[in-house]
Formats: sequence, C-alpha cells, structure tokens
Amino acid sequence: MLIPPLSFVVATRASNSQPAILRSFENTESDNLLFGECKVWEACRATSAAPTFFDSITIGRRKQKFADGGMVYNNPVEQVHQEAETLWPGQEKLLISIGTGDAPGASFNGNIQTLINAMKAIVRDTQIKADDFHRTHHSLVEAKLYFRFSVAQGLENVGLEEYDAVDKIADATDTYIAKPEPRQKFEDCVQSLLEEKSKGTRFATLVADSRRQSSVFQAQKSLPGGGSNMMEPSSKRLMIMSPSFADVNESRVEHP
Amino acid sequence: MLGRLRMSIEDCEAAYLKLSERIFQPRHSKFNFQRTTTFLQADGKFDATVLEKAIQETLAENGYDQDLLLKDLDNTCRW
Repeated sequence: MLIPPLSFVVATRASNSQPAILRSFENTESDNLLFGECKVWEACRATSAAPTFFDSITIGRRKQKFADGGMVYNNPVEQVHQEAETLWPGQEKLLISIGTGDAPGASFNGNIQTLINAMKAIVRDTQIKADDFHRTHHSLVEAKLYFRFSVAQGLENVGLEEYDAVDKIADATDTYIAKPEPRQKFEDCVQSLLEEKSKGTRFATLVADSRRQSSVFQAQKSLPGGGSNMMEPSSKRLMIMSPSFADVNESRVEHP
Repeated sequence: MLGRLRMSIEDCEAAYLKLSERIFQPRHSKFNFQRTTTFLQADGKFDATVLEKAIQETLAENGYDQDLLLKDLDNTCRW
C-alpha cells in the first residue's frame, strides 16, 4: 500500500509561546490544529515568523496568531520523535537530523548586527536541542538509530540572507563530510538506512534545523542514492518541515 | 516542498535557490546603494508578502492551486 509522505511544520502560538504543530495528516492524539483549514503558504509563513526575520501571521476563522516564541523550536528533533512515536508506537525509528552549521562569527558589523544576533541565538538553540536529544536518547545513538550531521566549520561567515553564498556553503559542506569522524558517521548512517530498508518495517526520519537550507540540500544529496533514494514510492514516510519554509525533514516506513 | 508537494531533492534545491534570492532582500532595498547584505532598515525584517507570493508561485509551477491546503487528501489510510 502506498502511503504519501507525512509532513508537519513547527510554529509558535503568539499568545502563549507554546509550540504549534501544523500537519498534513491527522494525528488522533493531538489537537489537530487548523487541520483542513491551514493552507500551505500559511504554514510556510507561520514557521518562518521568527523574530527579526518576518512578521507574525494570523490563520483560520478563529484568527490564531503565530509568531516567534523566543526561538525555542528551531530544532524540532524532539517534536519529530514524539510525533513518530504517536503514529507508530513501539516501532524502531531511524532518526536523521541535519543541522545548518556553526553560529556566525564576529566578522559582521553595522546595521545587520540585529540580524546576526538573532541568527546566533537560533543556531545556539539548535545545538543545545541537539545536545539534549543526544543525552536523553543515548540508546538510539548506540543502536545507530540516531544521526546528526551539522557542518562544523566554514559557515560562521555566511548569514541567512546571503543567498549568493551558495558556493561557500557547498564547499564547507563537502569539506565537513570528507573529514574522518563525519565520514564514519555517514557510513554508519548509510548502513543503518540499508538495514532498515531490508527489514521492511522500520522508518527513518530526517530532521532539518532552521536557517541555511542550501547546506541541508547539499547534505541530503550526499545521502545514499543522492537523496532520491529517500523518495522512492514503495515506502511510507513522514516529512516534517521545521522553522523556515524550505526545511525538510523526512521519515519513512517501508510498508510490508 | 519535499513532503506536501512531492518535489524531488533537485527541484527543491532549484526552487530554494530561486526563492531565497527574492525573499531575503531587506525591505526598501531600492534606496540602498551598498550590497544589500550589509544593510537593513530599522525594523530589520524581510518582506513577508514577498515570501507569500514566492510560495504561491512555487505551488503554481508544480501544478497546485496557490491556496492548496496543508491537509493531504491522499492521506486517507491508517498506519
């Protein structure tokens, strides 16, 4: 049976700073926030309404407002894990988290300082979330069911708004993935993906942080089958969009 | 794009490269004679309407209604 990819984006409720999950699918154990009402472009706007970058947005007949929440949900790895657990309780999950590199360094000045400070806070938060998840789900790490990739050097001087720095992002990502430690992790990840595939019952989740989507695409292309392998129609998968509209997270189940 | 719109990684990347150039322009950048990346207006924000328009155009380019619901009609079976 062919199951379409399941997607969600994470936003923040403006009134109480609580997380809001906007889904493409029904989750009977959730509030099903704006399900059947929220449009794709509204979801994109809601998840992009980070402070400093874009204005907040009002969605639906009850005029719920989504905005920044002190930059708490920039790395939705915990939300992905919980959502997947609700959908497929008890099943083993392969979780792949793709980060967007180190925080910007001190080479910026002048009137973009506000933007840079906001970005630094976001990136620091994604790293804290990644560290927390690593600690609290150490068994997943040991079982090679959780992998996180994030470019460790070379992206400090590339800002969110620097759409013309794609070459720098590509170079830094290539350099990162070629280093011995990420390389080994990458090979382990490929191995786990292949094993999950042959077992036919598990699923993988791909999580991406907010900011700098190009490095995310770059990293995805490095995955087995150039990323397209992740999309083959025989599998059931969950795709989660995190803050920033183009962020991509994917999870899948091979359907028996 | 990958999930709801079923776009390929390659198409997503191409769309993102195109979108990002339009979206990440500071407001009122026409008054700016320096590189746009070194200049932001006082409110420090990007123009949300540009983002909305760009998303709607991406939807249209991929054969979807610009007001497509996030709810996926294909997603009818249980798991």
